[in-house]
Amino acid sequence: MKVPISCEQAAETCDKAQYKEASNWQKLLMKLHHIVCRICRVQSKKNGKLTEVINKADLKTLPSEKKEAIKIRLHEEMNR
Amino acid sequence: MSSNLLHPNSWVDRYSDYLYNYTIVRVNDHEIAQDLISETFLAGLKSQKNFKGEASERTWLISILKRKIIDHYRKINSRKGKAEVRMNYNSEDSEGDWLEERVSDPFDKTAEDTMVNEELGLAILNCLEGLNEKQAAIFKMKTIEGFDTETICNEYNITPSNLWVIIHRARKAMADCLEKNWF
Repeated sequence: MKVPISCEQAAETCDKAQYKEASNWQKLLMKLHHIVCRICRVQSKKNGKLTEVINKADLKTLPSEKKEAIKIRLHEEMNR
Repeated sequence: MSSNLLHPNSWVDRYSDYLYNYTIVRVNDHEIAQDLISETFLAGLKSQKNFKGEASERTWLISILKRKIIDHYRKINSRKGKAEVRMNYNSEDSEGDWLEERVSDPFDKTAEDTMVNEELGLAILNCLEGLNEKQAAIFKMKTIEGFDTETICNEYNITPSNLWVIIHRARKAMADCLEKNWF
C-alpha cells in the first residue's frame, strides 16, 4: 500500500489533532499513514497519552500580570 | 561540595508556575497562593547567604514556601474562636445548606485523586524545566493556557509552521521525559 503522507506530515497532523486543529481530511490521511507506519502509530499513541495526562493534571499558571508584579518587586529589592 | 547557584533574576520565569501548583492544592485560594509565592521569592532573596548550594534552587525555594504555608495556617488557627465560621455558597439557592450536606457529593474529587493529580502536575512542570526557555514558554501558552496559534505567532513573531515545529519538539521531549518519570 502506498503511504498517502510522509511521517513528518502525519506527526504534524497528530500534534494539531491534540489541540483540535486538524481537519477531518488530515486526520483520515494520518490514520491511513498509521496503518502502514508502526513508528508513527506508536509515537501518536504517546502523543495522545501526553494530552491525556496534561488534561488530568489540570495545571494552573500564575497570571502573567502577577508574574510581572513579582519581577518588579524582586528587582527593586535587588537594587536596594 | 556545593555546586548549585542562585539566579534570582530567573526565579519567576523558571519556578513560579511550579510553586503556584504546589501551593494551590495546599491553600485552595488563588489570591493567597499568589501572595505566598511572592513572599517566598522575597524571603529567598533576603536569605541568599543561607543557601549552601547542596540542594537545587527549586528545592530550596520549596523549603521556604513550605514554611510560608505553615505560617499561613498558624495565622488562621490563631484567629479561630475569635471569628464566626464563614461559608462560601456556590449560589444564592444553596444558602442555608450546611457543609455536611455537601460533602457527600459523589462527583467530588477524592483526596487521593487530588494527591495523584498534584504529583502528576508537578512531574509535568518538572519535565518542562528540561525544555529550552522559548520552547517551554510556547508549549505552556499553547497547551496549558490554551492560547490560539495566531496569538502565539504574533507574540513570538513566528510563522504557524515554526510554531508547530516547536510544539512537536516540545511534545516529544515532554512525552519522553514523562515516560521515564510517570507513564
